[in-house]
Amino acid sequence: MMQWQVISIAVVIAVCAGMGGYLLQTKTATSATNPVEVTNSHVTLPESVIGTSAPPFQLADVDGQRRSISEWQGKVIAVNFWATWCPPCRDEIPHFVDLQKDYGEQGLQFIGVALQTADEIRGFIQEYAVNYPSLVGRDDVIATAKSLGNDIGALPYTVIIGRDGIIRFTKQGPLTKAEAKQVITSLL
Amino acid sequence: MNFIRLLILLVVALSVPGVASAGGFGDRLGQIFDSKSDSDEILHPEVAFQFFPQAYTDGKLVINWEIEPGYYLYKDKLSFSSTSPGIELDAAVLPAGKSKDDPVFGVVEVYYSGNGTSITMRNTTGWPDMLDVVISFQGCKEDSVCYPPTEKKYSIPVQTVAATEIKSTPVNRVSEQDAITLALKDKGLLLNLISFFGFGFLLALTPCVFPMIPILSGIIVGQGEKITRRRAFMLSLAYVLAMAITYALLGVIAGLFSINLQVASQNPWVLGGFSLVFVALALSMFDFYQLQLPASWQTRLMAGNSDNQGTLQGAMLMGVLSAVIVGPCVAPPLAGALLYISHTGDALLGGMALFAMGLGFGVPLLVVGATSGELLPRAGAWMETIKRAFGVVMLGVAVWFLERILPASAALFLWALLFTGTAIFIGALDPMQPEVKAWARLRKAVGLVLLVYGLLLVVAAANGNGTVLKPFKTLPFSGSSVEQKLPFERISGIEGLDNALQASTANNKIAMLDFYADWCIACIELEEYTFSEPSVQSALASVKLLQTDVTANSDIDKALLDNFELFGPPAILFFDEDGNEIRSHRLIGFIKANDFIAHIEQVKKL
Repeated sequence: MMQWQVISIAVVIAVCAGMGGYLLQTKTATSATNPVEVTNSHVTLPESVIGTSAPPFQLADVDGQRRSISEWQGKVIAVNFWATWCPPCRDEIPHFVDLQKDYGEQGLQFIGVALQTADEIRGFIQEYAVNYPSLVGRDDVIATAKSLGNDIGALPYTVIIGRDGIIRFTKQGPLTKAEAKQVITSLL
Repeated sequence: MNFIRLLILLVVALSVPGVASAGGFGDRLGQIFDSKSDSDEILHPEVAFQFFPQAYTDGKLVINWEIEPGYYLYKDKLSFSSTSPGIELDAAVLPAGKSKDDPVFGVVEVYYSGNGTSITMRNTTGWPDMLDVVISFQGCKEDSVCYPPTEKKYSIPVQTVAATEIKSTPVNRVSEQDAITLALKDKGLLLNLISFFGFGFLLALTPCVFPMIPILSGIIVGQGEKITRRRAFMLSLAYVLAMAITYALLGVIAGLFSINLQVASQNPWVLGGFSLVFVALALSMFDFYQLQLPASWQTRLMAGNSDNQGTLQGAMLMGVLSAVIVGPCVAPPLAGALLYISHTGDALLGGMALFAMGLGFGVPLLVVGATSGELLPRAGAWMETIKRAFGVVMLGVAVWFLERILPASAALFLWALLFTGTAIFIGALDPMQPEVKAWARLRKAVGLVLLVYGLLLVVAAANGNGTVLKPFKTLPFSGSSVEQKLPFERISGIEGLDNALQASTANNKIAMLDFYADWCIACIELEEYTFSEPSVQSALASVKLLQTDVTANSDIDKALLDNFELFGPPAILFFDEDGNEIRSHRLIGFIKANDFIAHIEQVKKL
């Protein structure tokens, strides 16, 4: 009786061991053929630029004029990188319009930087009644975003620079109105 | 309970190879508990969206991709190009995404999870060793950030495959079978297992499970009056686990050794054997004899001091047999998993997926088991009636098996015998006294219906066509109308198919190839219920109809099946005007006439 059990268990184990060996063989044989390309690019964290002085940049506005950030020197500058194809970006822009309205006279200057062409955003800024300058571009926008701490180029990305030209706040992803307001009022 | 212990041991032992293969399994376990989706961390786009291109010398560029949970890709921003000189890519036809309503752009299609596509490459100078592919994509993290359009360059080896005689075409809409294969490839392990459990559960809601309920109930009823709920549940559990393990093992073995499962389980001898087993079981339900193992076996099986082992083993044995029986019914998911196993050599994952599917399939059976103990009476005369009813159903299952190997009219005759016999036994022809109760009258009414239906089946059998559920396609005595059959051209082997396709491409026609075998029940159903419809025939009027009979499963047949990565019939393939297979529109398994017509119309529009 016991013998029957021992034999069956032995058979089961033998079968499993055999299968295991075979699997191991096939797995190791196939794994080499798959090209896996995972680039772990070095990423500059948005937080790492806080406390450094904002690098100067020049970008075209919707009318094709080159505009420089130095134009608004001495103000609290909030640079918002966005695009119309980015739903979270579109959601936060009305808050920025409100904040610009409320704090513009006290020295707040929002600047929208779109990763797009002027034609692509013109309708949008009209519809949303965007009351601050909009700059546009492609590679130069990506380079600017990078210089301001956004290494992976994901949108939205917002940088708030103090009156002294030092970067005080960065945010990758949506920025709530309350958070923006708190940062801005503390800098004004 | 020794056998339960053995069962546990078996399950544990089965997982040993996985642990032994180290890295892979550990990595996947890691994936299960990976919770990147919850974190605020914003991934690098090349990490959030990963692409796995593979190029082959038959001109196929297969690109699969994986997407981290919580991220999505825009379908219309996804594009592929080649920078290798002399290599051009046909436009990729991408699988359908999920619709996302965008207030600015309207409804856009996006991908939330892994998917894939197959692109045809054209070369002017021969295949290079390495192919440079550029993949452009754009996506977002839900409610968080969007990435700028990203390009990623891959340099991949062009893998040599034996030149096939039939050219392949891009996969545009992934067919059911392929969708399952892709799902298996691209999702995490846990998600895979859950999906397969789900597949199994869905299958259990189809008539596939019907043959199993009487088997299981038979086992439980056979235990007699003293059965407890717990015991009934244990029996069902043993049955279900054995079934699931069988699927897993069959899957692994078939994948590793490329055995055609369906052929094995649909062999006339195997079917005849099953049928006999069921007749024997049925007879014991009718108390012709007590079904018992030989005394010497019993003493052996009842090893140790536990008393009920024999039946647990019986339940498990039936579980194993049942898994094989309903195999064809679960053809599409099974084929998907098997294809995956044979493609990747990852038998472990395939086996686990099939095990999960078996468990899902067994859920209703567990419910039956758990409630039977309660629902069935402790004692009472009507239990005998139920037992007999199971006997009848088991005889039905026996005939159902035989149907696949017997000529249609002989099978019909058996059905007729079953119906009339049952009718007589419930007393359809017994005289009834005026004072009998309503219950007896109802019983007689049912008996008479069965009797009449049985007699109709006799007529149908003599008439030579029809099936048990649809005895008369044409009225038996109307004479005039003759059943229309689809004018299939019979072909065999790859060569035969090539010749036939040459003819159809010369006439600029699309072609349909039906894989048929006498032992394939779904094929016969297709012929009888779908192909026989006049509306189907008119929909197919402009299509070149080809059929290949793989009943013999000869080497030529096997080569043809292998060529299309099929495991066996039923399968219907479509070829465009150039003779290329439209892989996305393959049909595996039975399809109803209306659905079939809709499918044909889709194929025609391509």
